[in-house]
Amino acid sequence: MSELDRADAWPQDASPVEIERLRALARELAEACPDAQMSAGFAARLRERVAPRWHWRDAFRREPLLRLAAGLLVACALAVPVSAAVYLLLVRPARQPALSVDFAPAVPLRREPRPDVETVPPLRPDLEDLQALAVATERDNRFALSSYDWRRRFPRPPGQPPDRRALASLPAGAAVGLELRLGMRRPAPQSDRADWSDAAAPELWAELERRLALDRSDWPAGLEARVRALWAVGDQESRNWLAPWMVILEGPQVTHGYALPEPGADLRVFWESVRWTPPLHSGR
Amino acid sequence: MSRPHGDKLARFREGDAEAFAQLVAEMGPRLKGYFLRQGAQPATAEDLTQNVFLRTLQGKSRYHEEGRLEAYFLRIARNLWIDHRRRRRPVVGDEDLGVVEGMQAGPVETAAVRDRAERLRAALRELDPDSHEILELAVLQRLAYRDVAAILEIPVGTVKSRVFYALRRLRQRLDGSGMEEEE
Repeated sequence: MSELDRADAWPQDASPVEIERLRALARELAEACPDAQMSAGFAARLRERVAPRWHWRDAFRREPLLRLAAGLLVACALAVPVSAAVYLLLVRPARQPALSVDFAPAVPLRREPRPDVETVPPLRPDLEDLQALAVATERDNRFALSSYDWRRRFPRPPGQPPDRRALASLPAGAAVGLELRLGMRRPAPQSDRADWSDAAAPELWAELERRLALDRSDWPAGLEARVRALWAVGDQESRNWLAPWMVILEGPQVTHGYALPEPGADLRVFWESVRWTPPLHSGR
Repeated sequence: MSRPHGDKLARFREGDAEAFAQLVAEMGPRLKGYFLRQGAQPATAEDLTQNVFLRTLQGKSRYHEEGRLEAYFLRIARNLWIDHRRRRRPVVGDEDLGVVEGMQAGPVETAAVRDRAERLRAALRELDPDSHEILELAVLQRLAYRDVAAILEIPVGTVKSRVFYALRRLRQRLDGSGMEEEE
């Protein structure tokens, strides 16, 4: 008996006529939709898929060793998390020891002479040697400054003869200096004078030219004293001759405004136009 | 005295060949017909039917009462079909066209009966999904109302009213197609 054949299978407010018609329709629908037919190999294919599961299920039921192995596997898989949980929850960690540092007592240093070790002197010179070196370097630089300026302003024209008329109009010392500068005279290795106390300004100029031509940066103390004395009491003309010396002795700032002692208006230049300053030039 | 269905399922799980053959013979055509009427192609319907049997090997049976084994199989079949449709949703294939190629008419059907049966099947396919499903379970699969209610998770009274209104809508469709006039 189908469920639809029961009287209580329909709503109470449904009319018996409609219920009967719907019941007939349901039967007709069921007849129109019969069960499907299975393909020929359906059961065989299904058995192939079911058999391995049967085998395992059967083997599991029949073989105690297999059940034991499976039990051990499960126990091992559960052992790690369970052990970790027990350790974290029940086994309380021991109290951490307090860390401290014990410093050893200070050991006094003992310095004993070591004759087997050679003492090496310092490479840096003493302060006095350094000061003398600085003075000598500055002096050389001032010579270099004068030499540079002379040679830059009065280069010897290649193949051109010297101007004898200009030489004739110059004082003796200036003529000698100009001859030295122009290469017309070879500089004497020794000066003619030993005493410079009465030397005139052109002679001091000529001595400076000679030393420049010889690339010498030394001078006797008497010469320097004579230059300073003449510079202090001399007139404008003397100061013109001594300006290069004062550049060497005091620096270019003391000679500003003094003309170079050169003949002719075309060759007149001024010391203040010399702008090159040696690195160690700082005055004394 | 025949053994209850619950025992048959248990013997099938234990590898009983006789139980296997009986279950396949009883439930195979019903399950395949279910999948076909849902819109599956014949090959797909058989694959899904095999999956139903395999699925029964995995779960524990909760159906010990006589006559409820069909409900157990159909619940599994319904879940498998829902999963199958969900996986195939982006693809619109033949299964979505409502063509039931595996359904065959009975051997004694005349042409007129065959034509009326075809109209009935067409009207069933055109019903809304809820009406189609309630008629499938209650009328075509001949499940008890309580089993239908358990599968659909609705009260028995709701099953009763849904069956009534689904059949009424089916008759209205047949009236619209002129089948009643022929009668």
